[in-house]
Amino acid sequence: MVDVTLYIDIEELCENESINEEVIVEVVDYGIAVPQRGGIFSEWIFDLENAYWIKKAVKLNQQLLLDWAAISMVIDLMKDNEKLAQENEQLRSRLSRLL
Amino acid sequence: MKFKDYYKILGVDETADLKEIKKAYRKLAVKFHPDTSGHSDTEERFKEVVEAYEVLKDPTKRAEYDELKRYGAKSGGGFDAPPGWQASDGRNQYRHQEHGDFSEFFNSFFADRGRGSEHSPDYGPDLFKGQDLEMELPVFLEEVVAGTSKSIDYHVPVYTNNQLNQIKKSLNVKVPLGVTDGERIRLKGQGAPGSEDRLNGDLYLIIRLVPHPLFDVQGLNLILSLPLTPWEAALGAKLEIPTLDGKVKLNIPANSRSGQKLRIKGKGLKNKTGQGDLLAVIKIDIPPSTNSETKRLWSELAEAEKYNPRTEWS
Repeated sequence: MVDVTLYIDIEELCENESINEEVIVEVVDYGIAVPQRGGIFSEWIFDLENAYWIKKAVKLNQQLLLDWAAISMVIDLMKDNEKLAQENEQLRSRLSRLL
Repeated sequence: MKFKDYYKILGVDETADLKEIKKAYRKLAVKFHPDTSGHSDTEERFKEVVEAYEVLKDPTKRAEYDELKRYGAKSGGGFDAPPGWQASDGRNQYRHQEHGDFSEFFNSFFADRGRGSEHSPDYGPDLFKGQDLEMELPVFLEEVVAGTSKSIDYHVPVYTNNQLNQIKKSLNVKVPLGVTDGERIRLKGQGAPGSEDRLNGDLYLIIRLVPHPLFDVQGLNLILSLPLTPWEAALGAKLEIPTLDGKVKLNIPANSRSGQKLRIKGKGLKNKTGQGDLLAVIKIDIPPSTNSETKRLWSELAEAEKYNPRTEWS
């Protein structure tokens, strides 16, 4: 049986994804991701949802050469879009039962 | 091997300076990026653009590329490296570190000088760690409640002898209790193998809840559409309703209305953050056909009850 991981710590995130610690601080400062355990920077842990957005932000920064303020806005819109698509799907499913 | 005309891909002249190259790259990257283009089929074009930029933004790689282009490109798109050709860092064409997203041409000549090189300490593709993989995992609501284990099969891209092959892998995964639709779970080290002593990539499973024939999911709450006859709604009733772990008795209050929600505590989904409820949403359903006796009774009711549900219209 394979172990499922639901959290990732900052050290592992930096090492696995080749991300600088300063970049993660920047991403958190802009509110793109929120650590699940705050306090000292070296003790930050992220759930996979937040780790996913950190990786996405870093990719957008590298691939589209956007600054962090623009990335923060793009990510906010992407999160909204994802949430709305999910709600839309749920409502469609409920509506089909009610009609 | 097919030659890649990176200048053509970016739509710039061979004499273009770095500013022009960057400008062309940004324009095309935004146009074809899978996250911003709104089309999933632009990914191949995007990879091509990134590959071209990866080479042309770096003066050393660009000089080597220009040399290859001058002497190696053949008509018809074919390509042979010039005899005795060697990169400026002393390594010649076939190298060990390869990038699964890029072309054979890139991997043969430019692949192992990305991250960590003096030219791009923070940027550029990750050329060392194994590729992370993502796949959707369909899960039934009953499995979410029970936290069962599931067997999954998937393919891992592996480079052997300069060729990309797919290796089939099987895993047994325990589905965490109360996972929600769209949630990601990570299987550490189960992605593509890393090169040399580098880490394997991870496998990310994206949970997809299989639509249930009876229940919809809203957060930790389950929603059940509860059809009632008009007389059950008017007079009240005692019914048995389904939940994910068997049936429970529910009192329907008299004068219940369509759309009204009845809450059954603790019969929703459960995870570490809490326990959801089951919400039964009333839907008034009238019999599909009426006989003469039923018609008479409805008429009597219409005479006795002067209720008008459309008073707001006047």
